[in-house]
Amino acid sequence: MSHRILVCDDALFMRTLVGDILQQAGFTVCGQAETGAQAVAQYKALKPDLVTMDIVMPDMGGIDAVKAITTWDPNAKVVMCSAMGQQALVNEALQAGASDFVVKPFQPNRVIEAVQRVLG
Amino acid sequence: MLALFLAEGRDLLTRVEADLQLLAAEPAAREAQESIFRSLHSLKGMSATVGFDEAAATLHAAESLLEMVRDRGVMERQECLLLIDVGDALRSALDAAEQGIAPDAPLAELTIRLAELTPRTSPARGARTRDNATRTVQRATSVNGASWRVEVRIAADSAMPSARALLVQRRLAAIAPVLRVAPDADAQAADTWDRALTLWLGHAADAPALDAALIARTALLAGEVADCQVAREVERREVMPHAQGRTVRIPVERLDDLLDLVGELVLARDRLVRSVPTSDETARQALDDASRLITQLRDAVLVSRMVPLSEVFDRFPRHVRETAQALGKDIDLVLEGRELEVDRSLLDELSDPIMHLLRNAIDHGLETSDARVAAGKPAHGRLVVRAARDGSMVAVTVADDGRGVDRAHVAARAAAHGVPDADALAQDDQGLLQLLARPGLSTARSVTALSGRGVGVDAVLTRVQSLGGRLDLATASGTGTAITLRLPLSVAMLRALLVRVAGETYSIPLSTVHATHRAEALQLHAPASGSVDVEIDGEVMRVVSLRSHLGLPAADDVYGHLVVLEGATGRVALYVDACTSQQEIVVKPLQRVRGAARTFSGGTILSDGTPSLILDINTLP
Repeated sequence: MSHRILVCDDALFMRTLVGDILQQAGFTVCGQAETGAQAVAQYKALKPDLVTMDIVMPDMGGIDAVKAITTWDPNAKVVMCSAMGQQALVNEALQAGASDFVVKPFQPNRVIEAVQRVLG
Repeated sequence: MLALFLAEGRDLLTRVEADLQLLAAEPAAREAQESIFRSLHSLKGMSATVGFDEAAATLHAAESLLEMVRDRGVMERQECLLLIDVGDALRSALDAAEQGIAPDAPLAELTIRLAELTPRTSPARGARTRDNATRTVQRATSVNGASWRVEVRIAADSAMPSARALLVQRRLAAIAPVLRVAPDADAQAADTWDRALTLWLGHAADAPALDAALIARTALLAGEVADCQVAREVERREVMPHAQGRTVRIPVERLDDLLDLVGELVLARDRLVRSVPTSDETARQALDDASRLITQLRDAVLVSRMVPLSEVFDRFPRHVRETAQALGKDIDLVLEGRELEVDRSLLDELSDPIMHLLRNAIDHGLETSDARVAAGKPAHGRLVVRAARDGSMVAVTVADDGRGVDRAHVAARAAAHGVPDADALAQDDQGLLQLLARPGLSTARSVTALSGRGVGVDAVLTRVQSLGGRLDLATASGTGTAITLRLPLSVAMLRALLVRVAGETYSIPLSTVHATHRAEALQLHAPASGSVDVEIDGEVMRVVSLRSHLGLPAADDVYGHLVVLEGATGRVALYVDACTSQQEIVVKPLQRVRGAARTFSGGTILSDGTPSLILDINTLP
């Protein structure tokens, strides 16, 4: 059974892009979220194997969402999706419990490598 | 060589100081400027040769400043004052080197200030100097207790090298404690960081299979790692003057063998002492000399087995962090006395009991932040692990500032388990500990994955007592709980009470013995026929006959001794034929044979050459 992944980004374009990359590599996109709050709710409902998480999102940001998710499930696997120049935020997300990160603009192989590393 | 460097270094600094005084009065004194330049240049070369990279970097910056002054012809007052500071800092760095301690002189800061006063240095070059200086400081330093040094280079095309470095660190932290990372996060954030990272890993006792290949594989799992080199670090103990670089690593088995041999030697000496007639003056004299040397040898071997507690203490921060995270609690951990040295064999035994106590404190003792704030306490719980010498024992205290043990709750649970006088026992700290240590008596309101299965305190108490130690509890409602475990500094040697049963001599760790009594004075009836109760000093306790416990026939002699022992669940009176003497014994482990009864914790050879088994009092019925 292929791993189920929840994709979180406020931009539909990015969600679609990430979703396509993942599906082409054989993963299942089990859900999408546009805000951090949605991401947390979806995570609890879907219990995915992995989450890709944008950092800057309205409502609740990616870092707070990581905190909420890893508090709820300490074994949660979250890969941060960051724009260039947000290294400090990525560090914060990693401290908060994120497992890995990829940097936009996305190169498909980088995304897949990160996801595979985290899924072990 | 170091002595020569120090002596000449001080001479050069004295000359620099004299020249600076001259320049303070005559800022244009050309010869003094030249002289300082030469002195600093010499010292720089010397420092770099002996590996004082930090000092060399500072001197390099000072040299650049001097070059500028020389070109200009006049030394500014500001420059003169800064150079005086540099001279002072270098002098104290030399002093520190002589004493074998880490320098606390602000050399890196001075390097930066020197660079700032040298405008000929372009901003970019200035920044690099600063960065190099910082890195040199960190790379020149070794880390106490580190077993491995890992050099990692983050891939050149990594968009966020410092975030990647954090992942490397985290991956490695999962297999061994990461004691130090250089450069630190701030330096990594600088654009000038060259993406090279050095991590020092500590000893990972729970991962004995740790090797260079595993470490490298683990680091590479973080992704975007271009290169990873792993090197074994020579473990550094306390920084000892003159002893640096003269350490030998010895497998602990060899030290065990050495201790065994010394133990045999002591016994052989005792036999010899008995066989040499007191009339033979010359032989006695020679024997006395040999005896003294043998005692010294034994002490030296015991000292060579001592290792700092930091080897286990340094594992606690991660353990506590993970446990606290899993339980959603905020905790500040304080470690005290990690430099205290204990016998190697004790170190391995300490880890599990302390881990148990920490887990209990985090799970049951410390409240959640919300509950703490509501109770008027700081949001973060405080957990202290403190080690200290207590005579020939080491005392390790695990203290929290949590809610304290709920006496009424424990008493109720104990009563429900059929413990008589549970209410009275729970009023007193030591009685409360006895209740908590009852096997199977879990007081956790809910069983979590981490603790609360009722195996905590009794497992700790059993372990500690079998090592000849003891456990103490102090708790106050609302303010916290402290549990102290005391263990002999060396578990390889202990003082034992020797008792005789059916012609055999058995050893009992003296630390577990509360008192001994002549049995007939207590009007004991048929103690050999099984378990009866006896009243000693107003306290009723069980009597266990060692004869029947060992499956031996009852003795004809009705007179014997009662040895009152501090057991895991209160005092027990052990009935033996006789108490013979006390003796210092070397504990030798017993091979466990085909499911043999766990009655003995080890064996020893007594000074008269007879073997004796060491009774494990926790196995008494």
